Amino acid sequence: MSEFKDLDPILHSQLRLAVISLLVSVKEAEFTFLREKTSSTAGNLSVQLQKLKDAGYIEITKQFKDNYPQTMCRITKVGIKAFEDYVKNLSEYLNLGK
Amino acid sequence: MEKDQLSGTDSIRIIEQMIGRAKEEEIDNGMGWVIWGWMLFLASIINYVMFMMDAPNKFIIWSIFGIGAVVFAVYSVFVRPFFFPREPKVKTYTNELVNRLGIAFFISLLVTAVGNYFSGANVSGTNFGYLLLLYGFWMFIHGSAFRFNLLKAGAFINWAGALIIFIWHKKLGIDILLVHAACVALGYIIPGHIAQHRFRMANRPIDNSTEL
Repeated sequence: MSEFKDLDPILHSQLRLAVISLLVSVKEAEFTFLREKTSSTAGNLSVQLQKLKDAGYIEITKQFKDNYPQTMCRITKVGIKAFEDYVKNLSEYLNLGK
Repeated sequence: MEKDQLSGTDSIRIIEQMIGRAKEEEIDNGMGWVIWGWMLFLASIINYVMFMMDAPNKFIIWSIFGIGAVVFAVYSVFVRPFFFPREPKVKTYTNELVNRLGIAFFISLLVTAVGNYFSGANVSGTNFGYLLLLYGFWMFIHGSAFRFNLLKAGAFINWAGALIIFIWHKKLGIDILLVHAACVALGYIIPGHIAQHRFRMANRPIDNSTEL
């Protein structure tokens, strides 16, 4: 049996995990898309995105579209690896509970 | 609101839910299938009626159709992205791949149409067989990418239509146009309208009961 590792605290949070799960499935997504799909508030989402960015899990690009600011988010290779490790550790954790 | 206590099953639920919501973006709006399908269908029927009436310039409808298709393709690929850029809220790998496939399809279609003219396939009517082959190819890949089985079934119908035209083109005569129209109706128009319905259903406001 493989040794159980602690779940990544950056990802082990509802909103951050939801964001990473969305971004792992797409190439890049706008802030409003993430807000709609996670049903979160703009303020909370901004804070959690910043935490993911600080961890190096996502890249955030700010640009202007039709004179409106547009924030695009994209998962990084580090983020993909972290997500894969999280899922692997999670499945080990769930198997231990059986 | 962020909840500190997150169980393993909660995590799995969130991952599955979000991946599912991301997949919702990979639903075809069906608009292209409907427009393209009706254009092809009407051109086939008009051409058939012109043959029945022994009208002059029987193939003029295909010239008009060809010019319209080229203008539309140039506008979609070059003009619109440059003058009216529309950044989607989300970019998926599937959508990007399918867009490139669409460009490849139109180039292949153009080359086939020109090739049919110079090779004489237009005279024998087998040109429609080659076109149905191409439609089938596009439908099968597109249907697979968007997990839309009706489009994949449409591909088989178009391949069957192509085979019928290749084998029996001499017997069929101008009825080749009806085979082409039927394949287009079954392969493009019906799946296109169903895809439109699916897209509208998928884009209803989402359930906000699980606010994070």
